[in-house]
Amino acid sequence: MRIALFGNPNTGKSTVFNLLTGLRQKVGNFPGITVEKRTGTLPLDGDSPEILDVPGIYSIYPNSKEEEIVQQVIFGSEAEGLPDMGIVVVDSTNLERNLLLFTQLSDLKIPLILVVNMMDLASRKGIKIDIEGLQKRLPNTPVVSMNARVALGKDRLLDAVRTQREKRSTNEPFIPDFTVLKNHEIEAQGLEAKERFRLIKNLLHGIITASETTESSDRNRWDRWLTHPVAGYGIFALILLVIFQLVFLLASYPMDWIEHGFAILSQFVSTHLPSGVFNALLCQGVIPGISGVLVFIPQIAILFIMLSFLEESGYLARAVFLMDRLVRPFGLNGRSVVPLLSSLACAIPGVLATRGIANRKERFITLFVAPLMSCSARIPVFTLLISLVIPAKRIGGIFQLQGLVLFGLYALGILSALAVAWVLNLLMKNEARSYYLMEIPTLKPPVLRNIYLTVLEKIKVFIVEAGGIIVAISVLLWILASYGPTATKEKAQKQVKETEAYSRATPNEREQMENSVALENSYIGILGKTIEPVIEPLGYDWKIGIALITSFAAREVFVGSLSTIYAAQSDQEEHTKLMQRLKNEKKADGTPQFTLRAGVSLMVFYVYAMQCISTLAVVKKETQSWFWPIVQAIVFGVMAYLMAFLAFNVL
Amino acid sequence: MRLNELLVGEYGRIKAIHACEFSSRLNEFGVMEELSFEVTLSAPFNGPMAIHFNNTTLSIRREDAAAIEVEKVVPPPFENFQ
Repeated sequence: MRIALFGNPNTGKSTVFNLLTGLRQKVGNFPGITVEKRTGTLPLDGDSPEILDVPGIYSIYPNSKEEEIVQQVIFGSEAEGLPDMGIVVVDSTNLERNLLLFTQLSDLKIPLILVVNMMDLASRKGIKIDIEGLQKRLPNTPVVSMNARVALGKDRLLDAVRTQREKRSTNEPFIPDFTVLKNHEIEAQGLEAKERFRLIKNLLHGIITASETTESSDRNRWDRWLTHPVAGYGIFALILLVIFQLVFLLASYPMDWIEHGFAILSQFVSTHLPSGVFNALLCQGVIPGISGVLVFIPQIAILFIMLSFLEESGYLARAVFLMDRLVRPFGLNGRSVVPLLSSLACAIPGVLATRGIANRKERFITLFVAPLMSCSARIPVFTLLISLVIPAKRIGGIFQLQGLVLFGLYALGILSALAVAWVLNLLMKNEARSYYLMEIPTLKPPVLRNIYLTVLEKIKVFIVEAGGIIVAISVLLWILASYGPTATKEKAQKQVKETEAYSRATPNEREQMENSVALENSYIGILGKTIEPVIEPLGYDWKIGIALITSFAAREVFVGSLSTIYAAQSDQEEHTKLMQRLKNEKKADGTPQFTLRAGVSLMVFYVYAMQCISTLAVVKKETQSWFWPIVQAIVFGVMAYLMAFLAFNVL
Repeated sequence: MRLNELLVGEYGRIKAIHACEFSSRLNEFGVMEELSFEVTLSAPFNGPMAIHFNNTTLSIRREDAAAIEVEKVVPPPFENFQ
């Protein structure tokens, strides 16, 4: 049995879903379409019906990609058909508007349960709802009053599910012989809505009594500040600042634990398993690959805890309201703000979050520029390069130069995202007029359980979408780095053993030298040398070339690759050793390789380059074509090259 | 007059909504002829505005608000105002 959960946005629908299913949830895809589907099971008298959480909608007629999903759920894709039962969650403070969707679903002959939620809010606003009276007027739909935030009314809802499971009763049609309109019949949809509201007025006549309250002045006082021309932006900027401080501060500890833990695991496995190809594959390909996936989770989790806190509390809608005007000249929508903020953790959830943008052009521009927002994978690269080439001194006694450079790199990413968006806005045709209609929900304390479950879901999405690709590429790169044309490799190995340095070296150093030479003559080394002429104008040599190529698994692999190439160990204590080696690295003519120019050029390259195959894969899925990811890869690749060239030659 | 001409703190009643891409969406929000509302918020730099009615705050861009014909009314109580 399949039960679908319907409701307008901000009615507490997800709270009801989380209340019913708890951790028995999973996120998958609808068959045939690539949009995510939240389902869960409800244990009920030994039976476990499937509960489907449908994104919040105002009507069965879609206005965005997200709402099209709902339409497919209601009318049934070929595989699934109409749901067996629907639970419609409505906001008790706004019954009239919320019932529009209810009457539409009712006319589709889906057996329904009506959940009148947020009863506490209604009574605080002086609104009384005669639930029994409403039940009498809707004899075939169990009407349940709830306050889902505190789990009040859960038993009543379960009883209603039991009743409807047996009776499967539907209402008298509100509109006789109702036929579903086509998506383009906009005017008729408007007429239908008006007709339904007339019927709803009759239905609710005498059911709702409202008395005067002082709530509204209270509400306005907060909002006047949050959307104030000066204070509003100040508050928004402050919130972002706090978020990023916390992400940097809190995430570094668990990230260290993860990296350390896996380094130890890798060490353990390599010494306790019989040595050979399988051992090396496991310890140098698979385990570092998995570590490379998991290490992002702390930052993603912390950022999303805070973003969903802002969303749940209703603040984010105010930020969207404030930002709409500022981002519009760039072909973006106020709603683009949320995906772009998510992209600061990882572009993958960012790209997925664009589904809520109704206008196709604005949605595509948003997801196109999302990878330019500096994601967490770039942080280790930036940190290493900054400490390598930027002197640790203060400017004006207050600002740390290194911190300013990091800030500058983020700013460069954001400004470039806006610039690219602006160009796309000129190039792309608009198929439909862009508009912006958004409900601004009441400010309220967030439900912690909802935040926890949202964050869990984001992490799952990241692991599913990116995890496999990152691990697979790590393995592939390991193969390319471990094998090479046998003849040249053996010759080189022999040569290094004849050098004077080798004969003076300790066994440990000898091994490192051998590894270094092996890498130089592996397929990936050859690849690095092949691209050297191309990257030389940017100030890079073939070793950096290798690191650039390996970054396609995930950008932060850059650091690990450099340590392998420069034959340093990659664990934490040896980090300084790697720095020392990089500092001492000389070009053929004896000048240092990592000059200020070359370092900055590399950082600029990482700001732009589309070195994330997982993101490209997600963009392909979301746009349903190879066109967009290919254009993204080319455009950002060219920008990376040109800007890095500029940085190297101007400095 | 048009909705975008009203200022924050002023009240209005809708007389007509011109047919456009989002007119059905407005209707689905319950925004239709005879609705009384208050203008509660206005984003800076000629950004979106927000109207409040029936316990709902709805934000709309000013140029979109121009599609809504309204009349200015003196403050509540209105029948649909909460």
